[in-house]
Amino acid sequence: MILSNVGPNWPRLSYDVAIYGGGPAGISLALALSGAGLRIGLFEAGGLDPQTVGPDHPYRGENLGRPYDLASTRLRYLGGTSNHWGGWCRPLDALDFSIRPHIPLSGWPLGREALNPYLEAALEVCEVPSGGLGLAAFEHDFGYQGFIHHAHPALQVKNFLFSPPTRFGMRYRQDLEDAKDIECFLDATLVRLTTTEGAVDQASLMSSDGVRLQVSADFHVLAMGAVENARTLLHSEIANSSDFVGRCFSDHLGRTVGKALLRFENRYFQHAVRNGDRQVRALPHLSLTKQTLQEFELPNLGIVMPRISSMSLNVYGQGVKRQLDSLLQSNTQYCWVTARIENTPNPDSRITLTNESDGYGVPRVALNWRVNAFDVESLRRLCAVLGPLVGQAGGRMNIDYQVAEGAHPPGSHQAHQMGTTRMSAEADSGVVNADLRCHDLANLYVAGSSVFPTFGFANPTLTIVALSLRLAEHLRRLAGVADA
Amino acid sequence: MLKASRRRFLQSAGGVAAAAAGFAVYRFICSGGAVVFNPQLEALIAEGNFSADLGEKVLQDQAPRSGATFDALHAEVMNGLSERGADLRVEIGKKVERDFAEGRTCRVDGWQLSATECHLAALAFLFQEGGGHIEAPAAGSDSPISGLPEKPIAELENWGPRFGTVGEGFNVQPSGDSALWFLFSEMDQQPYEIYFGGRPLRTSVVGGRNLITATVTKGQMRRLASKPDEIPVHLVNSVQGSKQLLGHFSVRSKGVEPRRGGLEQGDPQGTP
Ligand SMILES: Cc1cc2nc3c(=O)[nH]c(=O)nc-3n(C[C@H](O)[C@H](O)[C@H](O)COP(=O)(O)OP(=O)(O)OC[C@H]3O[C@@H](n4cnc5c(N)ncnc54)[C@H](O)[C@@H]3O)c2cc1C
Repeated sequence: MILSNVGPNWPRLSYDVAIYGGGPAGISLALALSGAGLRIGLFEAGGLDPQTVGPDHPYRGENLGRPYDLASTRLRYLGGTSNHWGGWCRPLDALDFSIRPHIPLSGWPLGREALNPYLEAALEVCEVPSGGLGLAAFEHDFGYQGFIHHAHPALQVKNFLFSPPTRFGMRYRQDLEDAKDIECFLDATLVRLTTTEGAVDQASLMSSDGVRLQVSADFHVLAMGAVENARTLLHSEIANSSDFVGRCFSDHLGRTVGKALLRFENRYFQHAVRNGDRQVRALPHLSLTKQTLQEFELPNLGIVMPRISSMSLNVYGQGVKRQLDSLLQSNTQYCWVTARIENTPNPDSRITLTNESDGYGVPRVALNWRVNAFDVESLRRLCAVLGPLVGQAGGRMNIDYQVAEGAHPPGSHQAHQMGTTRMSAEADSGVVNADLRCHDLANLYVAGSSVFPTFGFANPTLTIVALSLRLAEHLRRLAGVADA
Repeated sequence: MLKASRRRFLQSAGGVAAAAAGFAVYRFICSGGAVVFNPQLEALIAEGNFSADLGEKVLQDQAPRSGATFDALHAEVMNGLSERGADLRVEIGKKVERDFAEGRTCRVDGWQLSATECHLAALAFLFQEGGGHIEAPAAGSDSPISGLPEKPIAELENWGPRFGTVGEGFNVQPSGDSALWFLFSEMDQQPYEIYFGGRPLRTSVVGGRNLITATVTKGQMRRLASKPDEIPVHLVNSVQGSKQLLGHFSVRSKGVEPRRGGLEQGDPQGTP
């Protein structure tokens, strides 16, 4: 059931599970919990429609580091930021879950295989056509025989697949309406959590016209996105004995590192592929094998190569093309080389609170987004590795001089906020454990990409949904309704 | 190339080109016909398989450091390749792959190339500078812009110079190259290129956003302006894939006075 506002009639509410935030993380968790005899409260700060992002908007904050648009990279209404996501999907690779000596703080306390069944299910939730291949589609060779990754053993392909994109608020609104065991409140902003004896005993919420509401629950789950999850914990002054709340804020880096001439069939861009009679939209990324990434101490990465006209070549580029065409006796194609590169955790990249509060009395955030020197350096190393590899395979790369010299900082953000309540095996190196429960509190859980300890280069939402589905199973088990 | 003309090239390359090109460290050694030039390689160069423009840049960037010589370049290219019998193009292709695998690379204008490719381009340039008999790709049907649609791209206010003389440079720069300038009333930041006789020129945007200069190298002058002609000059927007005819550059025979025009004709020899 969806209740459009918090009336004064409900000053106190009690649930088995209370979820704060109605984006992909919160909605998929609520629906996965449904049907098991639990009473679920889902509290969404916004309504059914977008809000204008005026100067008083609660998402506004300060930038202390690299510029970051805190307000326009998140949406505050049912469905959350999925109301304008692009639908790009790819799970993190097994490598992203592992401890890599060249990446400090790397490694998840669970492996990719633990997530596989939930990733399969997340494909359905995100409505991602995989041509009947399921997860295997992300590594599948959809007729890529003539592609450059076949020409050198250090190269490999990594596919992205596409959600329509699913607008979670619209797509699952009817399911929320129909679910007898879910009460979904709109205009219900979580303001603060209070604890006693190592557990959350109450959540204070407020509507936009000042009506207050107290919620108690056996389990509380924060699902408000990586900035708001950390903001609420910092404001509530809980779950932070490790001092990691707000730290390791991250977003994916992506930039055009150069141009290339390829004699190969180049479809390293979004296009329709087939598995038998099923059509799928895929975006193959050129990548390096795990061994090569490790040998050159590179972070995980993928490269897309949108074609451009050879007309864009200057006089020297035309010379390179002439020589290459003549040597290979073929007609090479010209393309951009755009790299999506994993960024590494940086504890100094963090969210803190300012002295200024929003209309709900919650302090606004200050974001000090920082990128490790290693990340900038790895762009340079990537260029140095890739140029000769592509050359050996019969292509040529033109590397952005400043990127190659490491002088240029990596490109702008992709609106994938991550890392602010990182998952860790040990309580002193993160905020939540492998079950997504706060190390410090018995009944507080966190959903969403704030729990990612390392980030891979894949967009986060498929993994966010998989983690929510896994969390639902965990909570059902704890509540003794696992078989329901 | 016939033996006699090859010798002529080598002899002229030894002196004139070195001085004109201004590569002080660069020595062309002609050992009185003793230089053995692989005929297959010669044919590949003469057919225009390698880029003189690229080679010129290679030499500008790298020769002062390496002190390369014509002999040395030739020897480098042929090192490890069979002198006769094999298909040299295929062998060069394999050598280029080995270069990349073994880290023998060079960077030219951002392009990461194999050392052998750079040497080949440099040889092509020297060949051309030395008056080698290389067939210039003609403007027209095989020009890379011949298929582009004509569209207005930017409003041209003035340009120059608009004429030159067969065998001579115009608006000659310290490098010995000739320069054209174009003043537009307004331009955005698209990548633009000036094309001269259907061939791209090294183009730069200078002094603000609406003044463009383009360099016609000595080699290009020789190829494109070897006889009296009206050479089309285009502005090309490589992103949109369109071209705009800016005018014609007149190549006159020696002693023919150009017709002087009004202001709209521009100062035919000056800079803006
Ligand atoms: C332009 C753009 C394109 C993107 N494209 C992609 C893509 O192609 N692929 C991909 O994987 N990801 C993409 N993303 C990221 C993707 O949108 C997010 O990963 C995803 O929406 C995160 O889901 P979430 O539920 O964790 O958080 P959100 O979607 O941010 O949802 C959080 C919800 O919590 C609510 N909320 C906030 N504060 C409170 C509070 N105090 N109390 C109660 N509720 C609160 C919000 O209103 C919102 O509904 C894109 C993002 C942007 C901005």
